Amino acid sequence: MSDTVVEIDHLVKRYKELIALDNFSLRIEKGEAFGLLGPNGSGKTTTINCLLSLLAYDNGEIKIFGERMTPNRLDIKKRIGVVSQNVAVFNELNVYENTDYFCGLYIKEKEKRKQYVEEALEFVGLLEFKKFYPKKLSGGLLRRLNIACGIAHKPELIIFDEPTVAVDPQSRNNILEGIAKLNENGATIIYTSHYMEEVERLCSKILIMDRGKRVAEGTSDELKSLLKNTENVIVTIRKLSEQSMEEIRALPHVYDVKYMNETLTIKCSGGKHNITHVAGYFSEHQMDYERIYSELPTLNDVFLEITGKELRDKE
Amino acid sequence: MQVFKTFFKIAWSYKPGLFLYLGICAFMTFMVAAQFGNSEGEVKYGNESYHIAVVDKDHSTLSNAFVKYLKKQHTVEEKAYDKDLVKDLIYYTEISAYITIPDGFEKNHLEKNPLKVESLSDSGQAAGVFINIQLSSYLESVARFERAGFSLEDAVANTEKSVDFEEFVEIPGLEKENSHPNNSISISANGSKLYSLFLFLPYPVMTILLSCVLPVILVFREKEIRNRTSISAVSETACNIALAAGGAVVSLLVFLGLTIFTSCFLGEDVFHGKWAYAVLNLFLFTVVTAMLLILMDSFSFLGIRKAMDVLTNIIALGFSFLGGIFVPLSVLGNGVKTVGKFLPTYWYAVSLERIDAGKGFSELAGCFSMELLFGVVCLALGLAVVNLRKS
Repeated sequence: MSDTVVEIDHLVKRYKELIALDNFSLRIEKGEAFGLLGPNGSGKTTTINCLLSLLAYDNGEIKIFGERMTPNRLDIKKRIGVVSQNVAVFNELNVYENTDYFCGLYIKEKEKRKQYVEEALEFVGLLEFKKFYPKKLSGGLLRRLNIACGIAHKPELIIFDEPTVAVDPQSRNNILEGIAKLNENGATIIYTSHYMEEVERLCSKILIMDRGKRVAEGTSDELKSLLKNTENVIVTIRKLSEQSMEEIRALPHVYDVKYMNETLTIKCSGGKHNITHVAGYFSEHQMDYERIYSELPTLNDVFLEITGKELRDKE
Repeated sequence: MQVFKTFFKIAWSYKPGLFLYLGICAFMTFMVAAQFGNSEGEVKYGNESYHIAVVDKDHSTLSNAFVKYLKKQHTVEEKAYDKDLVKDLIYYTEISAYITIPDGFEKNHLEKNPLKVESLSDSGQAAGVFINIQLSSYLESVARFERAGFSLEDAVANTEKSVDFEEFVEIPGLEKENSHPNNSISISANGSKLYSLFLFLPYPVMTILLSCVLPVILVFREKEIRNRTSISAVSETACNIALAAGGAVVSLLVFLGLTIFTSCFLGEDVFHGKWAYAVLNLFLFTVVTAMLLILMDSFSFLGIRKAMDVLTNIIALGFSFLGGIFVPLSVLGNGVKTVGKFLPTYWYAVSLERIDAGKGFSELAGCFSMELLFGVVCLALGLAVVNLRKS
């Protein structure tokens, strides 16, 4: 039996003139935490909606658990859990009733459902809030309720569509820990986000997409290895002559130097002791600097280098 | 089953609106019942003097005699008014009837298609019915004498003797009471009580269904909830069936509740023919309102959920006023009536008038059909909008 959980082949989705998904393909194996990374409007949510048969597509094929996915495949849907970007709960029902409702769409047996609901609420830490109505919950707790509703029926494949949008850092951390735990327990995870730190932390495999196309795919390290830039050395220094700039540019592994607002950014490709070389240059020339530190590239740098734009919209 | 059960849980959260409208309904029922509670359930007419405005354009022997006849009992004002003003005067009971005797009336009154005396009165009120019957019985009497060979003058003189206010007048559709000491017309309040109690019921039906059932359906239509439900192991069709079943059960409960509550005030008239027709009429109206909900549900994508309070008032009050639920049909202007004919409330009110007048099913079927037609049109439009959106 194949271990492939999701298989998307040459998916095409058009909105009139706009091509939202352009021959898009991906493959997700059982037990993977798969990150779908891309800027706003890159086609992440469209991919998820097509995957779940919420949207009809123009061309291509989608298989889940080895079976062709169509709107009527309730047997497949039964094995999927979804945590949507926007909180989808009833304001008229309390925490327990909401979780019970969504769990009840999959689990008919009352006793089993009761047990699952209790477990889900305990998992997201909402057991003590089970009589609360959504309006009384904070943004973070509401997100947790959204997750409880999506996972209560113990699905094999869980899709998280930007679940941490507008969530405070502490709640975000709790949510990410919970998702990691679900993955550890055997669930296959699809995680879409434009927060590269989250994807980097959670996902064993990452696919970067832009304008409905697959741009790159691999583990976080594999993607970073695609970069020419392997390290940035940043120096805060008040004054720097053109001659010094030329001399720094000539240091080993340095391929680009920029000086702006008293900050010198030195881009290095390869090499292990780049910061030592730079610091050595300044002490050799008796030049005073305020601060020096090194930064390793992020997925944002990968995205920036591949597509020429930032992952997250500049705020 | 999960959707069906949750429907009621959410519906229960709208209980303040439900109790508010039930309270209004109960209050109105008590008021109407109290109005009919006097004189052992009867409202008596006859030997009553009403204020009538008469315009005599004929100035003939017959018309003069007729005006004289009216003056015997009523306060007659010979003055012409604007038609709209007349309606206001009748509505505010400043006059009970406005009678116009057309030019050439005497000349044509014996012909096959005589010029008719135009009478404008609140025919929904017994006073209006009484005056109209006096009017027609007087003219019929004159005609009868003339056909028997009397001259017009003699026919008028004989009529004056024979048609007397002290004489018994039979009013079709109203019960007579020969034993009344003054031989006045006694209108049994039983039929009218049924009419009055059932007349305003479309308002609570509409308000309760619009404010307590439709919002529940619209909650399930919210984009996020709908998406989450449609990616679950429950099909969209099963979900829609569960919602429809939930709506149907609540509608049925509302219908039964209102029927039972109202019937408690009718005493022994319950389970009689008129009552059964009135209940059928209310049931049809409830079905039609449920169909209206389907049409409104199809426009859920416009975000009407947020405007439900306003929409409920506009629709319920608008339909009630235009359809003759709050204002008697006889008082409504022709333009309003024309609009009203497109509304189920109008046909509900007309049906109820006919039921009250003792008409049979054959004469009610047309009105019932018109009521249902509105529902069928709503249903068809609703389904068309849904299909259009899907495609």
